[in-house]
Amino acid sequence: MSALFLHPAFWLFIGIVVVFANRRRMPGMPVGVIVALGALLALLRGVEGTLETTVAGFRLVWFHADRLSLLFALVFAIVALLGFLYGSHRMRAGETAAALLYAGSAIATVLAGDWITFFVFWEAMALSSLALIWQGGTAGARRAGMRYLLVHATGGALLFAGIALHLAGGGETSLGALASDSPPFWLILGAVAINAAIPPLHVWLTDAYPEASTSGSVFLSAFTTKTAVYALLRLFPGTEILVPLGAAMALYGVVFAVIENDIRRLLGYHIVSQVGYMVAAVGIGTPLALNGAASHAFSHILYKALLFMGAGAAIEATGLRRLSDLGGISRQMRFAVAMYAVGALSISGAPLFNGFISKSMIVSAAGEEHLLWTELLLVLAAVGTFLSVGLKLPWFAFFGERRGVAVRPLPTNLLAAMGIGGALCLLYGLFPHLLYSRLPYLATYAPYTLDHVVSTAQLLLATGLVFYLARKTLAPSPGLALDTDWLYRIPLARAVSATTGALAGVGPVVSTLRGEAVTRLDSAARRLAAPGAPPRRRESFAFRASIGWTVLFAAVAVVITWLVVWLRNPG
Amino acid sequence: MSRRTVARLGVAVAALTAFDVIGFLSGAEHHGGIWNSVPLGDLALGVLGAGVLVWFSKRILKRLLSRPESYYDGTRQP
Repeated sequence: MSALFLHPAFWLFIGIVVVFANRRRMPGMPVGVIVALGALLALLRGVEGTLETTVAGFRLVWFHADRLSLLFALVFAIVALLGFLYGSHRMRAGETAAALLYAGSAIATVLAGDWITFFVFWEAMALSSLALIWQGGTAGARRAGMRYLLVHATGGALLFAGIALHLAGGGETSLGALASDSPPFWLILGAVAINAAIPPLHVWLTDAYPEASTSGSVFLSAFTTKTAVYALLRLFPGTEILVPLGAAMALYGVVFAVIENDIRRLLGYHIVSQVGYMVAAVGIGTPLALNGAASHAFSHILYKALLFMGAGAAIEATGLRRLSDLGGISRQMRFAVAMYAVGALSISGAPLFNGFISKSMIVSAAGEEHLLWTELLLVLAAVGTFLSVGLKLPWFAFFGERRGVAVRPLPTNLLAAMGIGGALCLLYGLFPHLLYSRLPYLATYAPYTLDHVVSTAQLLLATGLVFYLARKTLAPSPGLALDTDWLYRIPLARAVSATTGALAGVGPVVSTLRGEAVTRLDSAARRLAAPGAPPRRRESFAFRASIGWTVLFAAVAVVITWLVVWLRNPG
Repeated sequence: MSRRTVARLGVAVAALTAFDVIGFLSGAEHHGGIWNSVPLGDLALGVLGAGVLVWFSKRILKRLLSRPESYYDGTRQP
């Protein structure tokens, strides 16, 4: 390996320094585009190998590149480049730095070769994504960010406990598949399941992603869930429980998307659904299925970023985010609507688009293993995907009834990013061998057979017919739909309220310490979202409760880990 | 139902039928599911699947789970 080799993530981390050093002189922030391009070029060299160092007796493999990790790192770099190009007209220093850290941490996570490096960047990804959500700058973004922190602190605690148990039990420090049915196996699987947004642990995604800025959503759509898919592929291939979970997940997201009114939350439910395909494929575990999961993650990152760009374009042009408020704006933003259509056809698995290739691999793998119900549920999820993302969202947001909405012109950089994203979706759909040559396992698949194309076209056209007949029933209406977050936003919050109230009554010291910690964290969130804003001293219950939960979960995880390790090795 | 609507539906049904004939003539099933190996199987699955999805989501789930936008406002939730 070249001595001049530079870790692709380092490009992005160096970018953070450059952004902060020049934050007053470079408001437009082209830095993100430049360093993401650097990371992409480093990855296009496709260098496989390992770089490691020893710290405090631990062997840290901070660069471990094989076909699987390079595939994910490559698409992460591509979407980072697109995201920075898309948002370069509006991203400030704080948001750019958060996005750089997020993208860099995601790349470093998939290139990590040992458990400690993996954990460090996994957590860096959680914190930087939280900062990105807070950059949404609204009260809703701050509250959703706190709930996000709560869930991911729990996931981090589970991961920490699992890794600690694994290493304490004499496990290998290098990252690899775990012995099934051991405590570390289930703890780490639980942590990865949270990041993969497997229901009922998924609401952090549909809650927080719509609250970020339009460019922040593009980054968020790409990294956290797909890093979890990478972890599943690396650590849990062939775990059978993932098959029913993934199939149910694919349908769950689709069902909720049909009744959703917020355009980015609707797309968030479709992240849940599409990741369901990947989770099921990892569970199936054959080379075709694992290739399908990897290639679907690759395709999904591209078309989902494009869809979030399209939704963001509608929000930037109108200032509106609900289907019930939008409508009749397609003539004023033709190119953005056309590129959204490319993304919608890709996610629906229409022939000629990249989703057709990857989704078919997974459904075919289920068929080859005679998993009839899994195959049926995945096909039904594809029908629902086209119904809501391919027909409902564009019809009610871009076409349909005109509501006299004022439409502002969209900046060129935004349209350019959408154009490149759309071109990539078509490129990998028309020339699938470009993707096949990078897949991790040996398996052949021919997507463009006549019966396959015709069968897919029939499903899509039949769905179109149903939409046409039922479009009045599908008309969006204001309101929200309860999901599993209700459990921790109402009954569990009341329980925590009672607990923290009782704790505060024990002594003023506890109350003072807790209040100070909460005040400092909330002030940090406000400064991230609005630099220069004065910190607020009196904080809401929401923040106090969130901190209480986070500390509680982290403390419990650490104590459990320590107890288990101590019981195993009392000396 | 207007003439225009009827004409559109007619075109859609004709296109679907044409696709089905091509699919049936092209022979081999591809995914292994029973809907691939019987005539009109894919069309039936598409129509039934989308229809059931719309019915379940909008008629059942929405009635059960729909709340006003302000539902969580004022609650002591994080």
